[in-house]
Amino acid sequence: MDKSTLSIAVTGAGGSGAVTTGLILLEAMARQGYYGIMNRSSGPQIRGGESAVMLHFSNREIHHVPDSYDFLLAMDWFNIERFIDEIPLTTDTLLIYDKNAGQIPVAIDAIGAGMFAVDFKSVIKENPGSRANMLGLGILANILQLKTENIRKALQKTLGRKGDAVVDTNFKAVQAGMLLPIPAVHTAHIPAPLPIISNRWNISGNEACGLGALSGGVRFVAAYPITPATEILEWLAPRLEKLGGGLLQAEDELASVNMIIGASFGGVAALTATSGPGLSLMMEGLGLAVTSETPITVINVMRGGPSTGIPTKSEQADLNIALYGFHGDAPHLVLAPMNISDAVFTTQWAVCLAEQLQTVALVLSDQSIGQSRAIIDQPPALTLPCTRKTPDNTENYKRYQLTDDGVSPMAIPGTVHGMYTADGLEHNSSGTPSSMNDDHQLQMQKRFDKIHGYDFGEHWARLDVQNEQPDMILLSWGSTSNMVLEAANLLRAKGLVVNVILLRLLMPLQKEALQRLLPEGVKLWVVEQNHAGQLFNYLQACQAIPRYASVYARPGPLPMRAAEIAAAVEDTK
Amino acid sequence: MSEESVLKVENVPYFLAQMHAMKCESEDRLRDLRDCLAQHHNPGAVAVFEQGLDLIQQSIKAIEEEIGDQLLPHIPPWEYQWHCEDQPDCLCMENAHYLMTPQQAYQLTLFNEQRSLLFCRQLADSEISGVSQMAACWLIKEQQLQQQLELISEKLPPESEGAGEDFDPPNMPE
Amino acid sequence: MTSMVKPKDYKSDIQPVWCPGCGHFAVLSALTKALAYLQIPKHQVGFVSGIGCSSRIPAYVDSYGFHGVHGRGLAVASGLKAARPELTVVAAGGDGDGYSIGGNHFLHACRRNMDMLYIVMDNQVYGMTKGQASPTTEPDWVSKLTPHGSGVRPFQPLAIALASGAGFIARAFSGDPSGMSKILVEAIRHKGFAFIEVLSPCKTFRPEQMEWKKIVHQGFEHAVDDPIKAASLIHADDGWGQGIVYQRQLPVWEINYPVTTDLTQLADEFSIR
Repeated sequence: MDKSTLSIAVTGAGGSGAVTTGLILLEAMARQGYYGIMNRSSGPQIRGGESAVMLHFSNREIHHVPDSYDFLLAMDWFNIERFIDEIPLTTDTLLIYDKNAGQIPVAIDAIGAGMFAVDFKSVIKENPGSRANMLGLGILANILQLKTENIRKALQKTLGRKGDAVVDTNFKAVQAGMLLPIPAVHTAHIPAPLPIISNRWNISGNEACGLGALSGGVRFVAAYPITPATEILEWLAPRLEKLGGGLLQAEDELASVNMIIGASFGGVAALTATSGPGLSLMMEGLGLAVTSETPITVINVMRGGPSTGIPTKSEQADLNIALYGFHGDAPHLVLAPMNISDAVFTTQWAVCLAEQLQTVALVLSDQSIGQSRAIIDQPPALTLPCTRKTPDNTENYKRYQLTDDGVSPMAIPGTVHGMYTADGLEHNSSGTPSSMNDDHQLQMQKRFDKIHGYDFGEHWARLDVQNEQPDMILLSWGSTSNMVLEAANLLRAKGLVVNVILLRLLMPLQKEALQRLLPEGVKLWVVEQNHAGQLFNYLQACQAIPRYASVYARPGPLPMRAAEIAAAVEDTK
Repeated sequence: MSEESVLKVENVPYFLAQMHAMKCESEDRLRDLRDCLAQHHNPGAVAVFEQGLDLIQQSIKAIEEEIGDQLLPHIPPWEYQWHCEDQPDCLCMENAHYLMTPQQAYQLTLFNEQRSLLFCRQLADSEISGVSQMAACWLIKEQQLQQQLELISEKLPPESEGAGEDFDPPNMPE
Repeated sequence: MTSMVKPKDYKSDIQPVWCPGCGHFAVLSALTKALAYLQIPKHQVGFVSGIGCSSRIPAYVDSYGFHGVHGRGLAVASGLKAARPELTVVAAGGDGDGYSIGGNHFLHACRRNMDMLYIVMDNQVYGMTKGQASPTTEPDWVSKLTPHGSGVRPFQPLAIALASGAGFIARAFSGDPSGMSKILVEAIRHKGFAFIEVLSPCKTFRPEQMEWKKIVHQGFEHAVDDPIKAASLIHADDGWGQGIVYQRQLPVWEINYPVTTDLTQLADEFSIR
């Protein structure tokens, strides 16, 4: 077990407030000096269903889920079996539970975790106004030696909007909980927090994507709600207005993709966010953007698929549609953030690339990034080249003229003499529809060259290179990256030399740069969270990886775990 | 335009503005017809429209000379007085056909100019001072134009039998 | 007079490929006349369309144009207007583009009431794809896809526009381009979503529509501003009445916010303090 981290889960049903507990704990731990990440799970009910939060803390930035949980605070046993797979427990786990909640479920009992019963009912009786979740939080606070100041501020942040009285009552409950006896023994090692030196943020992945979008210059968003992307749009709506832009709620995804095309044609950087089913609907529109060379960015927060799939769970199974979903040859960009912090940069970069290259940028986030919340170091505010090429003079202006870099200056409506009609029909350099051979060859090549000839620099991947000649190389993308990094650490602890390559730019594939990192004969494992091994197939199709490379691919709904990955790849090195 | 329709032309500048607008409309229409039939590879019809266009352009030149530096009232399209009752506008594009014969093209060219003739005649017969004189003057010019147009008709190729049938099915360009 | 932009100046160099005899020529002519009447600068016009013969029109106008995909012209136009409210935005398309695949966008564009003009050139057929029934085709019209006729009652564009909340509803006819120009001018002037259904015959696939000029008539003497009256007028009309039937000033949706913050402040919301 990784001794530098600490993991806590909280479960409860019927409005017991598990999520609130998690949010407060995350914030309090942040103030205490920790970094952390929180994700959630729930039953299908809109309210009152079974609910779980899972937190992972460290004294450095952390983005991966643990192999198992140190603590579980279970406020009741309602349908807790739903979470058994997602909250792995071991004999080292300390399970704090309500004495009055009835029979301990057989599946839980069988694990043999440390069990610590609390008589919440009596404590609540003695402390009217208190609830099990806050009492439980108090117990945890005591174990973690959280300062009351930090708890108070965390409560203020999380419950402040409900009024001072509510904050007060809950604070008293936490304090009451802190006075309760705590188990004498638990095996969890609580790392000491380091002094806080940087400005840190409490932010979700979806919020991070939103901030990245604004940083890239997006000022128009068309929105159609879909789980798990809706929060991006909701975060953006009021903030776009404050920056002089705005959000238009569309009637469906077919409208939203076409609306952002219209806005972008009008000269304003535009974006939308969706998930798998919405992306399928948007495909035709994306092709239109590619052919008409209208810059747009679409964030796809991946969820369990196919079809309606599992909307509340994460999976990395939309790579295929992102790469190949277009009819015709439609060169475009596909990027994927690796974690919540990276989502700010990757989204900003995607918007900037779309604007510069006048094409479609697809950002593949996923539910585990989007709907998780993390404490991160404030990312550096980067200025990336983001401007659209516009014509210097519109004398004899041809919208799709052939240029050295393939990018044609784009006249913005309102520019005198720059008039042209953009088209999804193949066209000549003036934009007039054409079915002529030369026009199609030249325009196709131009749309290809502008992307494949571009120098994407060093951001195409994140590398963790231990040695130029390692024993093994792990390659991954998106949220699985975090667990792959941890898996590499586990393998290194056993004496293996492991390099890690995490792709951020998936299309166009930086094949040469990638191959430079793959020495002959070194075992390569591609690790990804989908059934078909979509990245593996793509890399093979591009002949970018050796024939002896293997894939560890497993679909959602469960996240990959470091130990799982390490075990899968260890044997065949 | 029928003989009975009431014209509201009260002064010479307004009359000239109407004439100028009418002729410009004709010009635009003939140009559109010419370009459209050229696009559809009907040189016979194109030739007729081209000739008609030439004559109309001369007509316009004459009117503009008459107008000189005068500032004329601006007439929006819905106030054109030379409308045809059952065919409200002189834009008879709908009577065109990609297989139209030169004879049919001629009829189309003629139709509008016949109406301008009628317009002038009606106003010449009116008793609106100034207007009727100007209209009478232009009536002569219109009659001359008619004669010039008739010259075109004399030179038209004979209508051949079976002209105007296309055995190819339509295309689906998109 | 000489410094004014003339109607023909609004035409681009691209020669229309519409069949001679097509009603759409009249729409192009009427629109250029309307733009000339209003003297709207060409570079401030955004002309958006979908797919079909009607949708070819933006290329024939010397303005900024967007020829999008089938049925989605209104969405592109909405995005353009939202981002650039100062532009004059015109959306156009045919009856298939607008009422079939584009039906949903039509409903919501009417209710959203953004300040733009929407022209549907209705020839009651899918011309571009060689003659299938469209939503406005009579139920007994035989075609290859519908050998017994569609058997489905036609879409009622004016009634649906009214029910969906459009604030300007009119019908025009390509056989009366001058009348159409007048309606277009009023529509462009109207602050809000203006919908004009233009009866525009298809010479090639529905040559019988050349008879329309015999049945189209002046239908609506003047626009009413009461939706109940308008509903009555629309339903009483035989489907061939020209004119503006309904005009009412309704709240216009637009994006128009002042800048009140910056990125640094927004980023700072996440700070833990």
